[in-house]
Order: sequence, then structure tokens, then C-alpha cells
Amino acid sequence: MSADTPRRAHDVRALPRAPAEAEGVCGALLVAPDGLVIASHLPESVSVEALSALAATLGRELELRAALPGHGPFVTARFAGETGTMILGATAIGFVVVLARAGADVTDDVRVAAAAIERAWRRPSLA
Amino acid sequence: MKIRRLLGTVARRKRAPSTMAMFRAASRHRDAGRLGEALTLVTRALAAEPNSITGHVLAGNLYVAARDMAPARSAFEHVLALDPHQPRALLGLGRIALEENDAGACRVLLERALDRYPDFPEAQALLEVVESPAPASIPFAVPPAPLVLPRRARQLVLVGPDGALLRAAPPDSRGEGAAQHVHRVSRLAGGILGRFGLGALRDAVVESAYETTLLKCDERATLCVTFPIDIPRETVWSEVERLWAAAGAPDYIESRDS
Repeated sequence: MSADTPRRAHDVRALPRAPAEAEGVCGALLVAPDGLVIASHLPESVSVEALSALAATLGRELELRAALPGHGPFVTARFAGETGTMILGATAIGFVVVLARAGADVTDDVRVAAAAIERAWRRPSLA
Repeated sequence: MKIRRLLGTVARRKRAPSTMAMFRAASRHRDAGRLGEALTLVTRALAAEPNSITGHVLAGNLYVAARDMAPARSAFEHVLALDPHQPRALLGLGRIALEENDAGACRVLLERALDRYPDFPEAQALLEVVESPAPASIPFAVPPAPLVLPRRARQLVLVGPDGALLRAAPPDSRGEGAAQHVHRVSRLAGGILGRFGLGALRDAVVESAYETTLLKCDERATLCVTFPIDIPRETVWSEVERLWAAAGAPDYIESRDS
């Protein structure tokens, strides 16, 4: 067991807060591939269980693109609805999910958060 | 003598934690993202208590978190052999079935979970996505117009609301698998957007290190085109709009004829 792991986990949980506080964002989540919520910055009106199950399944589906001929693993995905947007970012421990109002382009914020999570997660052990 | 015996019992208890204590410790490791440590503890605990439902559910979820689906499936199946209605095992197997493009099996598993536990938000949300969509009120012309792959584009597929492949370019065997993938992605993303008040899915951009994939969709079809990453975003969007119109999108035909 690595000595810095609790700190590392703590760091990772705090990272989705940055995109969650961006202009036009309704909430953000970091969810593991099995649907376990690692960090949640969502309004009370949003069902965390439903969003985590759907987002983890969607994230896995996008990961599986890499198995299709001519495709690579996804980095980010932006889905635009009539009145809002969802952005997914891929990391080794799961998926960053951000829900935003229409017109708010936070793909870069998600990319930055995903990269920070990846860095925090892969930080060399002190043990 | 008596004291020594009592002390020996206490020492033994400290040395051998209960399986539940090991599962709790494994959950803490798992919450902190230490999947290897968690799996080691669960495996040890299951060796001591092979029919622990808690242990096999935890093991299944840990394998899914590690993207190792074969042992995950075994763990969940083991649970169902012990308790045919265990909701977390049914959900886990349902998600694996969906990954394998078996929406029918996924639906049956989720319905079994909800039959016993109607208040199960994860299963409810996924079931809404795998249920057949309502037929489009104005379907695409069938068959749609042929589509030519834009210069430098790698692949395009046009997919019906039921996941049927309507058009593919290049017209090879890759189209069917791509259509199924596009259908699952659009259903899941559309399910999230709709459920959380963001409206119906209209378009999407999926980026990898080497390619950009664009989706354009409405209730009648989804068009998906993949380009190399180096082509400017405006160029690829204008190609997608042109293909969408060429496919015979009714809104395009209506605006053109008015």
C-alpha cells in the first residue's frame, strides 16, 4: 500500500469542483466504470444514482470504441441537447461528467480536470 | 493459567479479522481507488467464506472498475446462483450484456431487479435507455439516399432509431458494429440529457488522440462521421451538415421546398 494514497484519493475527489464552478455549469461528477461515485458536485435535484449509472455505462461504451477498427480510445466527448450539454472526460479511474446549460462551452475545463485527475492518480508512490 | 488462556483468545481474535471486517476494509480501499488491495482482501475473505453474497458482489464491482469483464461476470453469476434476485448482481450483468450489444438480455436482467426492488434508480435509468424508442413521427426515406464518404473521412454510418444500419461508407463489414455502437452511445447520451432536463440529443463530438467523430441526430436517425484530428472543426461540421441534407433529412427537404 502506498503511503500517499489517502492524500492522492483526497486530491482526486476535489478536482471535479473546478469545472463544476465554471460559468453555466449545472454540476459535475467523477464516476468509476462500475458506477461508484468518487466525487459529486451536483444540485440536490439531480439523481446521483441515475446519472452515475448512465454516465458510467456511456463512458465504458466510449472506451470500447478503441476496439472498433480505425478508432482510438476517447479523450473527451461533448453531447449537445436542445437546452444544454453534457461533457465526458476519460481518466484511468473513471469518467468526469459535467452538465451545463446551452452555450456554456466547458470542454476545455473538463479536459484540464481529467488531466489533473490523471496526474494526481499516477503520482509516484512515496512508499 | 486461566488468564493466559483468555489472553490467547484475545490475541487470536486480533490476528484473524472477520470476513465482514475484511469486506469493509476492502470497500475502504476501493473508495480510495486502491483496486488491487481491495481485490486481494476480497479474495482472501471469499476463501474463508466462499458463499458470501456481499463478497462476490464487491468482487464483481471491483473487476468492472478494473475493466476486467470476464471475472466480473463470473462473480455476478455466482451471486445469482445464491440469490436469483440480488439487485446489484442483476445490474452488473445487465451492464455487461449491454456492452456486448445484447439489449434484450440487459432488459430482462434489469426488469428482474426492479421486479423485486422497484425503487432502484440505477436500474430504472438504464431500463429507460434499453427500452425500444418510440417510432419516429416522420421517418427518413427508406432507403435513404446513398452517401459518399468525404475526402479524408475514415468512416460514416447512418443509423435508424432502432439501431438498424441505413447507410455505411466504406460499405464493408465494419458498418454493422459501428452502427450498434453509435446506437448505444446516442441512446445513453440522449437518456442522460432528457432525464436531466437538457432536451433531446442533437449533436455530439467525440475526440480521441487521432480522430474526431461527429454525430448529428434527431428522432429519425443518427449520422456519425469520423475524421482525422487535424482537419479544422468548421470543415468537418460543414461536411456533416451536407451529408445530413444529402441523406434526406425531412427538415432539410421541408425548408428547401418552402
